[in-house]
Formats: sequence, C-alpha cells, structure tokens
Amino acid sequence: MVFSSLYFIFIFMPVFFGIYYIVPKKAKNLILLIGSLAFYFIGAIHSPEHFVLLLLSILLDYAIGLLIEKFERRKKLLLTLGIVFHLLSLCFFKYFNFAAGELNRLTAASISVNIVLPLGISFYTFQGISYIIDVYRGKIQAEESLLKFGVYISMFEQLIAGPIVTYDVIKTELDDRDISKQDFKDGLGVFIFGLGLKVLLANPLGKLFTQTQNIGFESISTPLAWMAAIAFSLQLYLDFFGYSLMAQGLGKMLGFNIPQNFNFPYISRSMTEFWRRWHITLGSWFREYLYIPLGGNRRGTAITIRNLLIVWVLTGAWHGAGYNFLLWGLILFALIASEKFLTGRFLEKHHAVSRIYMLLLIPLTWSVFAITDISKLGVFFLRLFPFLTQPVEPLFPGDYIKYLGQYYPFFIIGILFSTKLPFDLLKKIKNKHLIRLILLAILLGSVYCMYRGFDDPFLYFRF
Amino acid sequence: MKKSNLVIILCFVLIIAAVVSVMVFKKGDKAETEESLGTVAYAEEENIPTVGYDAQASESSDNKTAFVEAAPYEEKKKVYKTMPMDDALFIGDSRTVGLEEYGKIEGAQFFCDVGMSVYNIFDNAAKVPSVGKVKLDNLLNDHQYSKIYIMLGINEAGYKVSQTLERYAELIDFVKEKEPDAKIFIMANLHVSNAKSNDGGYITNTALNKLNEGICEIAQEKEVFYLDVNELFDDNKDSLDSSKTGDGVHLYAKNYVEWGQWIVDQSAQIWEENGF
Repeated sequence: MVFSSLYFIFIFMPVFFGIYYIVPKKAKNLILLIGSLAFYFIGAIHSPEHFVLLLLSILLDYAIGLLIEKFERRKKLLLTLGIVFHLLSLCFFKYFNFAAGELNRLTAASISVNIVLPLGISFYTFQGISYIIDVYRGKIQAEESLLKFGVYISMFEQLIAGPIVTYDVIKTELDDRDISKQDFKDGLGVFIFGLGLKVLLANPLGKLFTQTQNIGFESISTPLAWMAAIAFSLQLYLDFFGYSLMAQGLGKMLGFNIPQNFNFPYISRSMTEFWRRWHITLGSWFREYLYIPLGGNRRGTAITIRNLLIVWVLTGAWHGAGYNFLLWGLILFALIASEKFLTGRFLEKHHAVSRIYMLLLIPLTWSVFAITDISKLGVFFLRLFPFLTQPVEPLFPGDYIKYLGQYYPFFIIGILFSTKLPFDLLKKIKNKHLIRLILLAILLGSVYCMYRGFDDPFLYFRF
Repeated sequence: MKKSNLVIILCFVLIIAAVVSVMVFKKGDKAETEESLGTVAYAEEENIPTVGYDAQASESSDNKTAFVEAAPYEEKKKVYKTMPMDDALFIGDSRTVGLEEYGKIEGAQFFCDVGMSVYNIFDNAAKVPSVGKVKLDNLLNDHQYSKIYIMLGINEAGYKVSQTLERYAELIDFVKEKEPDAKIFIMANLHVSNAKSNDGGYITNTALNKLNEGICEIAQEKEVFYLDVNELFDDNKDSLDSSKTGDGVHLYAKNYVEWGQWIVDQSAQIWEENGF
C-alpha cells in the first residue's frame, strides 16, 4: 500500500487515525503497532513471508539490544550476529536475482530468478543495524519494551521508504507524546503537499522518460534525450521529496517529529553539497555507521580515498542490483573525491562555473542511475553527446517539439519546485483560508489523478 | 521479563505461526490447482485456432478478400520494392501514431490518436498534418484516397468482442461509403509481449487473437484486404518479441520503419496480384 493511493487516503487513514485519536494516550503505541503491521501485511499480502521476516527482524534486534547490555563481554559477538543477519537477508533479497541472472548468462546454469524484494527492507534493515550499533556503543539504552521497539521499526509512515530514523531521534516521543489539534492540521497539510508533488508533478514527468525508453534511445533526437534526463531528475526528486514530506506529515499527525530528508539538493554547487542535501538520513547513516568507523578523513589522504570509495560503492549497491548502480556509485566517488582534493575550492570561488557544473552533472549522473542496461546507457549517452560518434539522423527529427509541447508546464513547475522560491512564497501567505483552499485544490487534483489511474506511471497509457 | 513484553512476543509468535501455516496450506493448494490448470491450459491451446491458420484457409477459398502472405516476407522483399503512398490514409490508435512518426511512409496521411477506438472514432477529432484538427467524417468528405489502412482494437480490449466487431463492421461500411474507390486494408492487431499478456490485465494475446479472428472474418465479408503483421514481430510464443518493444505494447521506433516498409511491400504485392 502506498500513500498516494485512494485505498490509503480514504480507507486506511480515516480508520486508523479515527481509532488512534479515540484511544487513551497509553494505548496509542499499541494501536500504532497494530496499524503499522496491518499496513505492512496488506502491502505484502502476496508475499506473507516478507511479513514474517519483518517480525523476526524486530524480535531479533530487540533481543540483541537487551543481550548486548546484559552480556557485556559477548557484546561484539552479538553485534556481529545482528549485523550479519541483516546484511545476509538484505543481500539475498536484493542481489539474488541479479547474481543468478549473471550466473545464468555467463554459464549454462538455469537458476530461477524470482525473488521478490520485501517492501522497505533497505530501510528497516538500516534502522535495525543503527539501533544495535548504538546500543553496542552505549549511545542509547536498549529498549525494554517490545511494544515501543516494535513501533520504532515498523511505524508505517517511514517503514517502506524512509526517512531512516535512528532510535535516539524518536526515543522521547515513543515514551510520551502529545498531539495537539495544530499538529494534526500541520501534519495533514504537509501530507497533502507531498501528495501533490508526487501525483501532480513527479508522475507526469516520469511518463516522459518512460516514453523515450519505449521509443528506443537509438531513435531519439539529442534535445529529447536531454529532456528525458532532466525529466527523470525532476521526477526522482519530486517523487522522493513528496514521499518524504508525506512521511513527515503523517509523523506529525502521529505525534512524532520525523527528520527532514531533503534540503533543496538541486540548488547545490558541488556534488558534495548535493549529497548533504539529498536523502539526508541515508547520508547520515553511512557517515555515522560506516565512514567514521572506517576512520573518516582523519587518517591521511590514502585512507580517506579508500573510505570514500567504500562508502560510495556501497551507496550505489544499496540503491539497486545492477552494474549501472555500481558505476553510478563509482562516478559519485570520483566526483566527491576530486572535489575534496582538487576542484572543491575552485567551485567554491566560481559561482557560475559551479552552477553549470551541477546543472550538467545532476541529469547525467541520474541517467546512469536510471538506465539499468549498460548497452542502452551507452546508446543514451551517445544521443546526449552526438559528437562522440558518427552523426545519426533521428527517425522523427521534431520529436522534442512534440514532447516539449506536451510537457513544458510540468518542466516549469517542476524546476520551480526544485528551488526555494515557491516555499518562501507559501510561507508568506498569512491568510489561513487561502492556504486551506490551496491544499484543498491540491488534494482534489491528486485524488482526481489517482482515480483516473494517473498515479501509476504504468497505467498512464491509453494505446 | 515484563508481562506486556511476553504478551507481545506471544502475539508475534502466533502471527508468524499463523502466516507460515497459511503459506504451507496455500502452497499445497496451489500445487493441486496448477496441476489441474495445466490440463485446462493445454486443452484451451488446442481449441483456439491461430489467426494465421484461419487466414491461410480463407485465402485459398477467396483470393479477392482476405489477403495473407503466401511466401515468407524476406523472399518477397527481394521482388517488391516500393509504391507511392501519397494517396494513402492510415486510421488507428497510438500504434498508428508510432507508424506516423517513425514508419517513414512518405506522403501518407494519418488520422490517429492515443486512445482511439471503434467506439470513439466518429466522435473524436484527430490532428492530421496539413489538414488540422478534423473529424473522420469531414476528412473523408474533403479528401479522396486510393488506399485506406485501419488498425484498431487494443483500446477495445475489455469490451465484448461481438460488440466491438459490430462497431468495426460499421466503420468499414462508413469508410466504403465515403470512399467507394479506395482499397481498404484492415490490419490485424499487433500482439503484445508475453510479459504484458500475462500481467493479469485485460490485454492478452488470446483476446487479441480472438478479435483479430473476427476482424479477418469481417474483412472477408466486406471484401476488403486483411494484413497480419504479427509474423514479422512475433517471437516463438506468438507474442510480440520483447526485444522489439519497451512497454510490451508499442514497437521501438526502429521497428516501425520495418513495419512501414512491410506495409508498402504488401500493398505493392496486392496491387500487382490484383492488377490494380
């Protein structure tokens, strides 16, 4: 079940929040746990083993946390056990299909490749690991209440797509939280705003990239290739940002302050800055639980470069199974390492250059991320940079005019919403009725699109 | 350990046990179902004649109506080269839009749009290059064509086939009445990929074959030509070859060129065979 579905908005939300607000304060965690598990169970209805995996994961982390505190001398072993369990399950579900497919391709093997990735495993696994490491380090005390721990891992607003919340961030609210009417209103407003970003902007923009894939990259013109790369970049941001806002809004409605996941990444002037602003909770996780334990940047240039390489290759692998994700991680490593040691100061001083640098790199790096087939990726880059090969006349030379005519409003609004401008303007509106009216319009527009099936890029097509 | 923790652990264990039991039970059930389904599927396969097979039969009985290739396409390609298409009109849905944009059929006009179907073809206007936005009725009133190609049917999936075929027949009558001198070519619906056909949606190759079969019969009845391009793009499962499509429904642009050339070749052959 995704947030941008009629089922979630018109059935799950009213039923769940109705009960959640009626029950007394001390029963709220129990209702939240039951609601979150129900939310996950419905989402994983065709793969109930994924639901079992989530429950086992909760039980294991809960037990390991307590055991680490109880058996101080064995704590390293216990921590290793927990991390190995998480990494094995993550690697199995995430990379088995890819590994088996490659093995089938390279040898005469015929391994079945039908492993379905459990919903949210990349996120709850990282939350689980962060928890046991923090208990091991003595940064937090192990949670004694399984109810509270279960709520921490399974809270539906962050379970399937983050933000990755560490235990210390919400510990206080797990113990005691007050939800005011204003929290509810604010949370609902943020949720609707995020919904609008996803349904009204990200989904239509995503359609353009899908269309160019369906035309075949070899047949598109260079301007259309650039439009597709930009459209994908905007879609990815608005989709994920929108989803994170929905999570934050729901968190507020539940009485939690969920951390911010995006801070206008597309206004960055370097790749290093970009990754401080993009998927902030993932970046923090890698810094806190991998980069710094490896020695960070305090042990000389060579070790720093090695650490950056490890972090970025794993960041690439975390995002998906495929050579393109590794390549994408390596490119980010090369860019960030070169900014750290070579180009950083230059970019800092030269505003115009750094703007152009990022305006080019953002769509280019996201193209590597988007196109999983390496040979198609090569074709796409030759369309982006036609001077690298023999000139090829596109089959439909005016293709970009056609698609620009269809998509220009989404490009304009999408680019606008990648900047601070519309958010600053919204903050200036003091008239509450006007804000409500805007939110109502966004909600109605989103519901209409969802009703018509426009919320799912794969349902866009009429043939 | 606190009582509340024990209760929750117990609940978790009970839920896990329940889910695992249901899974085990369902697995046994599924194995049984699959066994019986296997027989049904086989029987169905046996009973449904392929369109190609039917079409070949009809060709031998009446060579003026439904046209079916007698020789493999590659062989014919060497014989037939080209024919003018500036007197041709193509009517269709998004797949015809693809043909218009990428098919390289020089000079032809296209009345097509995404979502076009036999149910809205009379009401919807389409943007025809050098003519503007126009309804089919007005387009046919104002222009004369020698060849009219129609391919519709995928947006009709989900409707009752008999109802769709009725509308299809009406469309052919309408076009014949408006353009009595034009040769009309009804084109079989391009198959979809095997993955698309099996994704649980209502667009399946079985449904398309059934529709194509009906369209072929209408073509015979109305004495118009019938072209089935599927042999060109099918894989060995009689589905659209997945290497030729991105979404399982539309061809890659480069394959539209092949399709366009095929249509020209087929038309040239019919022209020659029938002495037009």
